[in-house]
Amino acid sequence: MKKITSISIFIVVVTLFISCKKYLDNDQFFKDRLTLEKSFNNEVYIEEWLANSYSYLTGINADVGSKGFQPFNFGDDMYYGDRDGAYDPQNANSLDYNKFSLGNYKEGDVQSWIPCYQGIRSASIFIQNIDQSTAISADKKADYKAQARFVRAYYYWLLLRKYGPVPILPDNGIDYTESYADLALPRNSYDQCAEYIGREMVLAAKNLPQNRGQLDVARPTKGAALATRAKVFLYAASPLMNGGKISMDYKTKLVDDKGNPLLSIVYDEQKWARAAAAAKDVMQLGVYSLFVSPSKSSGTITHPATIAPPYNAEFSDKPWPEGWANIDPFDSYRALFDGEVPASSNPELIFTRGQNQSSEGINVMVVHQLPRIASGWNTHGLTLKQCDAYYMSDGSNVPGKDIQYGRGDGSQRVGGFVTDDDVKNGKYKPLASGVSLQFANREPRFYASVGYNGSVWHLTNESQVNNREKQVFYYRGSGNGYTNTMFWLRTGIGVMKYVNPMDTYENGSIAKVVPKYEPAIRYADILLAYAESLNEINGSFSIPSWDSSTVYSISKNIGEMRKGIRPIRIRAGLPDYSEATYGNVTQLRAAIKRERQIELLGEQERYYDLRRWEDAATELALPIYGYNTLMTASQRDLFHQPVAAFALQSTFAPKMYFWPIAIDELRRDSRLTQNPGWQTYK
Amino acid sequence: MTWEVATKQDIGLDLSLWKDAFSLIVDVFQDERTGIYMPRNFLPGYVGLTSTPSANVGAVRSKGIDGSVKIQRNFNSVNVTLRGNLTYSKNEIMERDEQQSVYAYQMQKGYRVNQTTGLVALGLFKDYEEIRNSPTQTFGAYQPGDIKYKDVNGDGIINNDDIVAIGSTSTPNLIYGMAASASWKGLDLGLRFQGAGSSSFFIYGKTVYAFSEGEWGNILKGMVENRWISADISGDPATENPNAPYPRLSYNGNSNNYRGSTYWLRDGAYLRLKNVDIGYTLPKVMLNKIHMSSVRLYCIGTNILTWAPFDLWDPETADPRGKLILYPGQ
Repeated sequence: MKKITSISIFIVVVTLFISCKKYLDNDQFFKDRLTLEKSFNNEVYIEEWLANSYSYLTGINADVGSKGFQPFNFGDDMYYGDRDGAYDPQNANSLDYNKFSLGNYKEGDVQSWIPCYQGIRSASIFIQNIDQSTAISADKKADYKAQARFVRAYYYWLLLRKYGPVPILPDNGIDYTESYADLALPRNSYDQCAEYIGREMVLAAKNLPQNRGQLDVARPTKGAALATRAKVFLYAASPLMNGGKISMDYKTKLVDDKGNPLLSIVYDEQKWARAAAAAKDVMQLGVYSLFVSPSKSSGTITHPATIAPPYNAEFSDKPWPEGWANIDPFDSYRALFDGEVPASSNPELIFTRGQNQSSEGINVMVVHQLPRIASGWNTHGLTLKQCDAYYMSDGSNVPGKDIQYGRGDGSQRVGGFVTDDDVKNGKYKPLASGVSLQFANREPRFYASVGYNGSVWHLTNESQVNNREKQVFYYRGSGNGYTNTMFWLRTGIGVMKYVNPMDTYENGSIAKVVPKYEPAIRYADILLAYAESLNEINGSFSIPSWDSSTVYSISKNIGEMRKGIRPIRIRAGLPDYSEATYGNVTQLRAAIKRERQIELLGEQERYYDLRRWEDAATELALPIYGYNTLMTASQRDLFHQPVAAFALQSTFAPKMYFWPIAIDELRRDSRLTQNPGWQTYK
Repeated sequence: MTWEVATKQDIGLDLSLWKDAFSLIVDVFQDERTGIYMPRNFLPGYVGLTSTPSANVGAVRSKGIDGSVKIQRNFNSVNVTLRGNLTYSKNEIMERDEQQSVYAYQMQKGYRVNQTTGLVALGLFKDYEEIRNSPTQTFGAYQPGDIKYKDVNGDGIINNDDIVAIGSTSTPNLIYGMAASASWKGLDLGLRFQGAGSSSFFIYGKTVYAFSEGEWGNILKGMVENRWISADISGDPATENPNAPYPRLSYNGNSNNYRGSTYWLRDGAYLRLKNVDIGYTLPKVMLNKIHMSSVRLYCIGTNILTWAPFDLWDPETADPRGKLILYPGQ
């Protein structure tokens, strides 16, 4: 009896110990009990932490997206007509296009300050702790650490681009137990920020791979780090940050708490050389090239046979990349954005968030571009300025370009319309019958970007065949033109970029829109940056490459500038600029700016470009023109006579150079200074 | 993260004289608490936190005096005892988690714990002329007969930036009591006084804000008689009294008048005769006959008298809404 008792006691005790150990080991359920040490000694947790550091990159911090988060995608090139309290009182507090373009927004609107710094904190903790981990291999550790470093610097870049100079946190993070007075940090200067990002990106690039597999398209590579660095240096060299005269008054007002200017008052040409060298670093990697689609001798309605650009002795007979003999320029540009080319097989995509897009993603943008006939919102459109910026297919200007601004070359806009006979005879391809001849013979990018009056929307995802292949006119009374709602195009010009031939919004189903890959940084952007920087250089500079393996000798050189411009021109089926253009700083500068305006439409570039060039003061103050949307189909001649778009307003004040910082942030950090022209905390 | 640290200093005197006929205990103290654990609600965004952590950031110093006295005397066969006690303390917030403000008077630092804050009322608007010549009040529409506030920061606008420390704290800083007892032969008499001072509280709610919170019908008598009434209604310019204890009547709330200000701030001080106790103990000789050991006949009164500047309801409850369901004067 005694024996049995002691044995059973023994069993009970042993069972208790065994079960207790397992039972109490419940960290996998309760993450609030995780210590840093535990988190970084488990591969799953490590990956989760890193994913968290990335997670703030989407939503309001995306590079390309719809206006709810990215109004910066819109400017004097593209506008949005919905979310307007003037049409619907429910939208009274929304940031409508006019509020946005008149600077009628408030401190704290479209606030991305806090999510950026949350990402920075997350990445910083990762960087500090990953070295002690024994759970993953040294190679992985190096890659992960470099990724965290990249994403942290990328958040700084997003802040810098939008808010201007920001406080850079110490590497060991911030101790939140300190007093508020001790926590207060001043803003660093633009140059300090740019140098910091540049330095961090070099550190990251050292351990990032050149390429990643299909499953990791949204993770950064060596090129992504170096390309961000190139963009940062390009911005730092630009007039707004580098001694430009037009914004000099603004520059003297943008100061830190001690009164030191945060933007460079004095021009330094070497910054352009540094920007050129950084762009060259990306080019020297040898992994990127522009995406091209092969030419087709026959095709379908959605993917028609290649329309060859007018014959050019230099480019028509040579194959890509020396010429356009074997490529389809229209399809090359369209497929880049409309979701047809997967990110992993797109050699031009340097950095992308892939399809990790928010409720304001590119597909949502497309839904707003689609005409009413496809159940789209029909509210995103292009300005006449953007429409006219596109070249003719032979590289000349469109007749009547910018005459409304008194900048014309004496030519008048083209009258007349495509007739059925013209279509039958294969004239004016790809225009359909009834389209204004103003839109004839334009460069391929025009047809891939502009939803001109009378363009054909394929809509092949429509369930009914007779709802597909619709020609859409924006005449009043046509169903897609002016109506007494928010949903009409204020200029009578739609947006075709990002629209896949399949896309439609039948029954409000977003699944009928092909998902798009976000073009956060494209090789074309870096190439243009290279040419733009070189054009500004007079002297000669020796700049070491990013990894100090060589020293670049940077000076203005037409051959080098062509490397940046020519691929983009040829891909678009356009001849390269003339020798005269290359030989003239001002002309080439204007040409590159126009090239960026065309090539990078809707990629959140122009909003910031106009500011860094200091062109915002002139370009954004111009009235926005469009077609006469009040005219009906029977008044089509009048429709095509440009008028100032009465529903769109524009202006520019220096306070719009940088986005205002929220009052709460200024109140909580006594050393933080507001951007000039915005309210401070007393 | 550590424990909160309290540093206590105390000087005490314990005195007893004339064979305990007089005794006195006095303590003077200073109490300093540092590292009070509190949430950090105002961290700058660039700290990058996704939650609100707490830290040892608060510090409070309190000083005070605490004493009691007792006098006992025999006058022939009359036994008299007098007792008194008093506690007075004052504290100051030295550090706490609070948002920086350009107006030092809006910080809690430097003020007492539970300091009441509000606007400073300057009486009621006499006429539109006065409204036009006064700083703009931003709490809603207002007209003659509504409360006029002081522009503390002088910016010409009355808003939340004009809220200052007014009155005292919501809990009394001074508490005192007195008791006297006397006995002569079988008769005994006891008196007990209780008092508190240096506190203030706002009155609000449907009791004092007529016709608010959906209430209709009865209103306080003082409001009927002493409120500001437009001469157009009463026919008597004297009823447009800018110093009337109640503003003009308004229906269903008045966001200009009905907010914390000196207009509605009341002094919580009071002194009251809490207990009176008169008794007679029957002589032992009588009781022995009926085999009882002790019989005392007595009469007790509670809350006999109250002296207080606040007279609407029991000040001891310090109830701001006058709605606490207590038996009157309990």
